[in-house]
Amino acid sequence: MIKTENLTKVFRTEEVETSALNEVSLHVKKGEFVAIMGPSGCGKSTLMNIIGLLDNPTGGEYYFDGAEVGQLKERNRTMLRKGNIGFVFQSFNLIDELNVYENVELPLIYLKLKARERKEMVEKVLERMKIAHRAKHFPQQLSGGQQQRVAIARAVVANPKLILADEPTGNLDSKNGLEVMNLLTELNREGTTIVMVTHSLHDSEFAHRVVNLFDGMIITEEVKKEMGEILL
Amino acid sequence: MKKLRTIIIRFIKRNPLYTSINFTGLVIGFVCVVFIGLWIKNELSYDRFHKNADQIYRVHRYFYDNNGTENLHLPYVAPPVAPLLKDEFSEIENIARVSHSGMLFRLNDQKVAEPDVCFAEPDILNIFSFEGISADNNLLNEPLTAVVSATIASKYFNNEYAVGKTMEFFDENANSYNLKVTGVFEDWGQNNHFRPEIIISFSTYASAVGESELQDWGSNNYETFVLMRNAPRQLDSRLDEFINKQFENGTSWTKIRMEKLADIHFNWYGSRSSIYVLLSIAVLILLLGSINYINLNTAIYTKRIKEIHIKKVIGATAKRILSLLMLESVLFCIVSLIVALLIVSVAIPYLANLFNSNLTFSVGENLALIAVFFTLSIFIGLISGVYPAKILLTSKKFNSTPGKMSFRNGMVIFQFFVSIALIMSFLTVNKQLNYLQTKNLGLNQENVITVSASPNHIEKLDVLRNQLTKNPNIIDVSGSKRIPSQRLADSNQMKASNNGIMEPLGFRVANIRGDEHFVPTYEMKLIAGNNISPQIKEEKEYLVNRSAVEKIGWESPEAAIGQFVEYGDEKGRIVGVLENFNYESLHNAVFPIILYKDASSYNRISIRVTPTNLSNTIDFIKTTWEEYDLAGSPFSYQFIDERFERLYQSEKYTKTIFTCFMVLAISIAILGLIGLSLFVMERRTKEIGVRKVNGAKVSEILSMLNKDFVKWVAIAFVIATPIAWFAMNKWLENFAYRTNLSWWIFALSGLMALGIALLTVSWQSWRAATRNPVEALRYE
Repeated sequence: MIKTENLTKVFRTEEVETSALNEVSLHVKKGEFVAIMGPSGCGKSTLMNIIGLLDNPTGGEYYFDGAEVGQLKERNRTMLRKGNIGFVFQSFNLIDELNVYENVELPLIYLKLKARERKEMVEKVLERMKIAHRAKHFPQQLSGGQQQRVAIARAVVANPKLILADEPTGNLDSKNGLEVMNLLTELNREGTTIVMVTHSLHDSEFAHRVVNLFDGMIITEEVKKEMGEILL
Repeated sequence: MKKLRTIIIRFIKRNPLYTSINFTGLVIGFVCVVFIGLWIKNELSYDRFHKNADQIYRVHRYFYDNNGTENLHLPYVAPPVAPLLKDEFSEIENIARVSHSGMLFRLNDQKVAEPDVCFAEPDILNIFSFEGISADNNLLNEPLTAVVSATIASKYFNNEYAVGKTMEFFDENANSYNLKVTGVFEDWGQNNHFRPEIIISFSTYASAVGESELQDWGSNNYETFVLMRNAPRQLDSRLDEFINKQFENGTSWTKIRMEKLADIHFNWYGSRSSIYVLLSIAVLILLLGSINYINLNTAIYTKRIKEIHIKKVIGATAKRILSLLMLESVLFCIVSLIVALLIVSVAIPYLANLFNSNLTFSVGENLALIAVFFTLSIFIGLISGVYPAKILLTSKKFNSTPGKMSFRNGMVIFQFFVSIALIMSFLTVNKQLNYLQTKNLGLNQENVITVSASPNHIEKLDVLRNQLTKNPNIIDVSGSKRIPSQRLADSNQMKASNNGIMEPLGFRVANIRGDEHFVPTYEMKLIAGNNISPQIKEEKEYLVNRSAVEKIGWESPEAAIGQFVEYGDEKGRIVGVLENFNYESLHNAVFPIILYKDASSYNRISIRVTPTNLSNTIDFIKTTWEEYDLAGSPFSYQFIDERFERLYQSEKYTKTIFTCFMVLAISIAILGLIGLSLFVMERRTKEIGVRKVNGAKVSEILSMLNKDFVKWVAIAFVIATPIAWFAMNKWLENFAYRTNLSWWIFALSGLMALGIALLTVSWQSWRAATRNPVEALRYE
């Protein structure tokens, strides 16, 4: 599913040059649930952005579903991202001006699906995330846990192959956090590949594998549990 | 104070774009206001120089058709009016008749034309403020005495004491006279409509023209000024009684009225409505500038919320913060005003030139006005500071974006409304001007040169014509009284027979007095009959225009031929009918005109030339003309088409004004839009990021961002269209001949505004849309 070879990323400002990723080689199999851990500034988010096709690496190779995508133009990255990758953020990143339904509908609009189809898919995913009764509400009217469920609903509504979660429980209390982790696990069981960045040891327990990043390099990898069925 | 300065300077350094947009907008606004303020002050100052300005009146005369419609309004009256009025109205302290005339004077060994010469009765010295002459009222009593302006005195007498010296002048037959200078008055300055340089005693004039002229009620050539003791009551009805005393039922065909001196400039040269228009433009532009200022300040303050909150946390009171913010805002406005004043003081000669005005700007003379400007700038500083400051102080969160969008959107819509309306007006004025300048007048005004004619020129006109037309580039030569582009102010009672009975016509028929070459020289079109013949016929020959035929009621132009008419007691026959032509400016519709020979009245010669070798032709005309000029007057010529163009001078300035203010309004609107789009983009950064992460393409983001702006322009367009349509229709009513308000004027204005808006906004939205969403979301 995801394969990176010697991925590097260098940020340049006028005066400083910072190396955020240093020859990172990472394989994520289809259906796998991988947690990436490490202290602040170790390059977790940068790695996520590159995997999520939001950013290009400075060097190295990145294969997504077998195709080299490391140097794609923004236009093509967008095309590939649509429908294939769903994002969940620590701060939810819902659009304040749109209600729950409209927030979730967003990826489907950009996939140019018909309104009837969209309605069906949105309603189904809201039902599943147990948030259907809040469809007409605006993000400000929801609790943090509810907001994150909406964000997850938005991430999965188009049935993506990959979900990228950037500290999904970071802004939640433990009860809501647990609920989110259970949701992600459930999605993973159904076959969605998940890559999650986290600070929390507790959350990392839900993953098959934990990758530890430090100063832009993978220092350790530990397998927590075997995947029931590994699909390549 | 010092801390405040540091903070402001640092802030400007960090936000040069916001600050310069803000500053530019305000400065533009103030430049307009200062310039318009000076303009209005200047306009209001006309004829105010005179101590008694409010008690001075000018006597006017009106004429009416039988059906009561006014057909002529002259700012002059006949000579018998003044003495009769003085007997009738006890309020009249002084009254003076003035006859204007340009004349030749001897300066050293040369003859110099002095344009601003008049003959005036002695009371003139008591009516207007003549500084520097003795209070002696006898200065203009004797024939051949004169008072002159200081300029004239120094020109003719080299700064020597002029009183008691003599000046030599020439009449049109080149007879010379000696004039004794009895007084020298200080120059009056530009802003007086009546600006004599040499005033010669009226008795000089009276003895030249004779008593019969002074008793002639038909000679309405005397500007007559009155100084009233106190404001007269029921003036109009008493003036009507006065006229009816002179003529039985006189008010049915003529009336006299008095016009206040202070109103003359607005009634005849400027217009009061232009003051209101300019004033509203000034207010609008300043409003637009302030709107930007408020808008941008609110946007900028989002960047300062942190600073303010930390100050509050540390212990600054809201009052203190508010007063600091207001102080900042007021200072900003004052600095903008000072910069604007500097710009105006440097640019005033160019601006004055652009508007054909004699405007100047000196601080000393305009202290009161400048004080008004400063008060205004402080006021604007307070008003535009208070809204953003309040929002800033009441915002709760560190990172919230304050302010209601709807208020700001409303202001942007307003700016676009003004811009669109101005574009529409500009296009209409332009179209009308084009129309005026290209409309077929019914006579060919191109390639005709006109020169003045002395009695000798007219006497020898046939010889002169033969000599001139020897030049292959001279086609025809005609003598006439009045030339196309002049007002046809002369008319006489006309009698015509429609059904066998000769009856006086109930309407005015203006006359052109010209020779048989007039029609061919101006290439006017005969639609029936023939031109008047070169020979003097026993029976007088008349030409009339189509309008006269129709108004008299003859069936057709052909039916008019051979009709027996009387014009001012001269019996004769219609020999030809001319197609209608526009003799006067296109402000006026075509009216009945009669054309006939009257050589004794001719004072102009019109010469049709070919466009080739023009300067040689003009030299040739000059030498030939000088041969027949006994008085030795300087030769001068004009092109008829240029004279016609000058009739639309005021419309040209209207166009200049609209062009300037349109450009300014659009610039301010663009600045406002840049500010607002910066603000909107900053506000929507997160949303854009989220949408991009969820698969939105750059083009989709762009269209989403621009959609709102398009909507605002559309709303502004919808508001502007009917208002501009109404205003421009009103303006076009000034013209008897007008272009139509085409749909494309409105469509084009809307498209231009839309184009400008999209270009401006896209610059920002493109940046926002192509930004990496990662950056946008990282700040969360």
